[in-house]
Formats: sequence, structure tokens, C-alpha cells
Amino acid sequence: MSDEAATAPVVGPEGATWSEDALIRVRGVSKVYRQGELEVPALRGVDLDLAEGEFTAMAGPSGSGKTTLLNMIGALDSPTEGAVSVAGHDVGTLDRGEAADFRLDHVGFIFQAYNLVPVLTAYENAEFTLLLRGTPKEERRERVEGLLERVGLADMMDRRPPELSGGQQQRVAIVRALATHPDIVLADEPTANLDSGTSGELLDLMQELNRKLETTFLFSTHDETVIRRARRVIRLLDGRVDRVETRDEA
Amino acid sequence: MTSLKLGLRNLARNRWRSGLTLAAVAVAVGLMVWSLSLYEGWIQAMVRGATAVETAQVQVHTAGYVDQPRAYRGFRLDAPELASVRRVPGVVAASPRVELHGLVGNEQRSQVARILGVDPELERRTTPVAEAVTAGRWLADEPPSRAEPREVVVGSGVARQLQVEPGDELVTFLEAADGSLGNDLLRVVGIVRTGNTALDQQTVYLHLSDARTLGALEGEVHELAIRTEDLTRAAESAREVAAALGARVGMPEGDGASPGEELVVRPWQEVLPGVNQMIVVFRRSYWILYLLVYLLAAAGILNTQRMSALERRREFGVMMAIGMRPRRMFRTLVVESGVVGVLGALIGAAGGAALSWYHQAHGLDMSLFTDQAAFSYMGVAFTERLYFDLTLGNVVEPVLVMLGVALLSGLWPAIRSARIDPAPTIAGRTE
Repeated sequence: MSDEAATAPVVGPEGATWSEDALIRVRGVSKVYRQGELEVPALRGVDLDLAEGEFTAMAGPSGSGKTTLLNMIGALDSPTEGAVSVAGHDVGTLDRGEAADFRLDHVGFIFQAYNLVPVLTAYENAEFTLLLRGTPKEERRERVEGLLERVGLADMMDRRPPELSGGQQQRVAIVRALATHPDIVLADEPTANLDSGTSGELLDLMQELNRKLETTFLFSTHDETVIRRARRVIRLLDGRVDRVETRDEA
Repeated sequence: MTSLKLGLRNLARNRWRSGLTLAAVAVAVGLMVWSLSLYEGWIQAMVRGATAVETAQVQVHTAGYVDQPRAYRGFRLDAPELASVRRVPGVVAASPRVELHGLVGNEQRSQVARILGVDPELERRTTPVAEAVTAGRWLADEPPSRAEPREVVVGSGVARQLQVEPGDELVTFLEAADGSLGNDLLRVVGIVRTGNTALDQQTVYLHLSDARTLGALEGEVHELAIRTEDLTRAAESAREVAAALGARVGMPEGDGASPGEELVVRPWQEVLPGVNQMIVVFRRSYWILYLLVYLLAAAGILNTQRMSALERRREFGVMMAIGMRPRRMFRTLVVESGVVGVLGALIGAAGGAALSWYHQAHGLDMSLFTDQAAFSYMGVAFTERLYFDLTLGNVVEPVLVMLGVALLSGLWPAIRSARIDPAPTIAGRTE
């Protein structure tokens, strides 16, 4: 976690004070999208805390607000009302440049469609975020090669995305997300495009990384396999937190 | 470095489209290099044609003669002064001349002619007129004895008008510098055809000493024509000649500001302002060609970059989602356009320079464009081969302009891409 996160309590909108121990705090967050004259509410007053090192899934039907909430936490979107604090940053108040810096420093993203840069090799995709941060070459190599070995892609570093299977591409995406040692990894339906066997392998991998690196994972998912593996499941329905399930590690 | 790597890789992503764009840029730059070299070669040929056969590149007169050419407005030019002019760096030769106007004819025909008195050897070194003799010969180094008719070489048009050939006799009547009427018997020894219309149709050449005698100009000349090594340095040469003679460079502004006897030295640009003006117009017309060619290239690059950026919107959204700043996204796209511009421009410059170099060495066969082996344009003679003038500037300038055009063409797609909102773009929703 960044040094900033360990400093004084964050003062949110309307003077609300948040404690230091939660990595993510979502308070009274609503989001309304406008489609012409029509207002479409995506989130309706969501409150949520997430501690460091959690392995949490957000589940719910399509349109329940999972991706919207994930985007808020990842500073990809800002709330219409309420506030989101991640690692001590009030992410709703960041401008575009600051939000990009925040994501680079604190958040790792894993997407449903892998979203690797097709003209770059597996290694180059994995080191992309480190390049953006200006990490020295040797350090980049050390981190990326170590992670690629860990996810079983040591001999595929020079392959470009079209030469990798879906599961392999998602492994590269995981390495890209973890290479900067983010405070949190946000994974939006990471197994939706994979078969059950590959999904299981990837979940094993992410659980292992969660345990060993103590990286916080937050998933949005429909996938029952993911939901069963999560230590906490936040059920969303119609833009609200319907219920929160906590369970022993699977 | 990342931006450059991405730029190069993205070029390879759609090879057919990138190849077409690179080809368009390369052709545009190659065409510019080639046409600039052709233009410069044409200008050089035109200036050479306009100056070589008569005016040479620098001339000395009295200010009064430039203002109103009259027989009595000559100046004395002694051998040491002439020698000092010839010592000026870049001066190849100098020919003192007497210019008179009068009637030339025989029993059947006559015409008004320009009678140019020249030193045959010095004129031969200064202009190629002696080589333009098509019948008979050039003036002998020494004039014939007084008992013989004076030698004359006539322009081809004069010979045609008077229906004379070498060996025929002519008489001349002219107004001398002292107001008297000079007249004498002349024998045609040669006919010249220079391609210069004014020269061929109106001019006859006499020995300098004969012209002085006829014009009552003992020891005087009207003009000193100076041939220089480098056409483009005529103005500098004029200044140096003026310094050697203690003369003024060019005419002072405003009529009558300079005493009539004062010597003025003028480069060809001032002697032939029409030619100079034409060159200015030629050079300005480059810009029309420039504009058209570069507009086409810009449209090609803009289209490619826009299509490419549209295709990669989702990819850009991901890059920005994982931490690429909008400014860096903008820079990456501009660099990509720059890569297209630089690669295309370098290929085009190499091709254009190679072709121009060939045409500089071997000339372009102008008979492809005209049915005559040699032709004349605005009174200036051109040979059937036009030799290009390839300069560093003719290569570097189109490359730099194209780079600028490429970067400008890439601005709009780059700005649009930097404004992408990552979340809806990744989700495939239009903003």
C-alpha cells in the first residue's frame, strides 16, 4: 500500500470522516446515467468497506451495478452522489490525469476480454504498466519475468496475444495487473470467456497470489465458481447491496 | 521509446494500408525533390540562356547610360582597370563593349541595327557568341588594314532580312557620340545564331576599335560585360567589382540621384529585371504545387491515422484504464504519425534525390515535351536536354515540410484518442 494510505483519516464529502484501516470505503454512492431525457439509475446509495488482502466477489444479475461500482472504485467513473475512497484517495474528485496516475499506482485491472495490446509480446504487455511508471529496465525484467514464470508462461514471453490461448492471455493480463504491486486488483468477469477448467486454474492462481502477495482482489462476476472461491460475496440487486456473505476460505 | 515502438509496430499491423500511406508520402516527397531540382535547373538554364550570350552576369556602365543609353555616355576604361576587374575572385572574363545604333544595309535592303563593338578575343571568353557562328567565321583578332572594308558578323535574322552571306558588303550609317554621322563600308565575315531573339534579329558585331572610330569614342566604352563562375553569386561579384573600380553597386534609388558619369555595377538580376521577376514568379508558383501535393499527402495520413485510431479505440481505452495519461496517449499517436511522415519522407527523398541526381548528370530529354530539338522560351534559348540542379536544400526542405504535415495531420486523431473515456470504450459503448 502507498505511504499516503497510511496517513491521517480521509475527509470525504460533507465532512464524513473515514477510518484508516479500510482499503476501500464506499459511502452513499449513487450513479445516474442520462440517455437523452431519460435518467437511468445504476447505483442507489451503496455503502461498502473492503479491507486489505480481501478476496471478494460482487455478484448479481446484469444491470445490478457490479461493473459500475467496480469502475467507481477504479477511478474510471465518478459517482453522481456519495464518495469513494481507495487507499486514502477520494477518487471521485480526481481529474483525468490524476485518475490515470491513481490507477497506475494503486489499481490493477483484469478484463473479461483480456484486452492485451495485440502488437506487443506477452512480456511487453506484462511490463507495460511498469514502462508507464518509468521503472528501470532491470527492475522491470526482474518483476515481469518472475511473475510470468509464476503463472507458467516463462517459455511464451515472446509470443504475441494472437499466438496465446484465452487462458494464457488472461494470465498475461494478471501479470500486467500485478506487476506494479497495486493495492487492489479489480477483475471484471475475468473468467467469463474461459472454459471451466481454465477458469479453475486461473482462480487457483489468483488465490495463491492473494495469499502470497497479500494483494486485494475484487471481482465482479456471474460465475458461481468465482463466487464459491470468494471469502466474501457482495450481492447487488438493482443498484443496491442486497446482502453480504462472509465465509471461511474455500 | 514506448511511443516509438508502438508506432512502428502499429505500422506493421495493417501492412497494406500503411504501405499505401507510406507510398503516398514517399511519392509526394520524391515528386517535390524532383520538381524542385527541375525548377532550379530550369531557372539556372534560363538565367544562363538569358545572360550567357549577351549580358553576362555583371555589367558596368555610367549611371547616365543606364538611365538613357546615349552614344556620348561612355566611360574610359584603361588596361590596369580591366586587369583589376579580372583579378576579382569568381570573375572568369570581362569584355568591354561599344554599343551604337544606326542603319545597316545594301542597295536593296536596310534595317535599323544595334552595332556592338567588341574585342573578339575578350568577347569570345565572355560569351559563347563566337561559337554560335553558323556561316563564315568570327571576327579576326586584329581588324583588317584600313584599306579593307571593316569586318562585321551579323545576326541570323539580320542576314535573312538583308539577304546577305559571308563575303557580301554592307554600309552603315550611325549617330556618333559627338553628334556627327559615322558611315563606312562593312564586309560580312560571319553569321551568328544564338537563339536569343533580340540578338539574332537586330545585332551586328564589329571590332571594338572600328566601332570606336565610327562612334567617335576614342578610348571609351559603353559597357563592360563580366562573366562570373557562379550565377547565384552575381550580386556578391558585383560588389567586389565595384570595389575594384571604385564604383557604385546598382542604381541609387530615385532618378537623377547619381551623377551621370558615375560608374554603376549591376548583377544580372538588375540588368534583366524581367528575367528576375519571372524567377520570383516561378519560385512562388512552387508553393501552389507544394500546397496541392502536401494537401493530398495530409489527407492520406489523416485518413490512415483516423481509421487506425478508430479501430484501436478499445485498445486505447484499456491503455488509459491501466494508467496511461491522456497526454501520453496524445503523444503516442502524434509520434505514430511522425513515424509515417519520417519513413515516407526518407524513402521519397532518397528516390527523388536519386532521380534528380541522374537528371543532373545526364539531363532530361526535353524533346519529350517539344517537337524541336532545341527551343526558345521568352527569347531565351534552351538546349534539348535540361540539366537539374540538385541541392541539399531541395532534399531537406520537402522532408521537413512533410514531417510537419504528418504531425499536423496526426493531431486530430491524437486529440480525439486522448479524450477517450476508458470505461464506456472498453465496454464497447459509444460516448
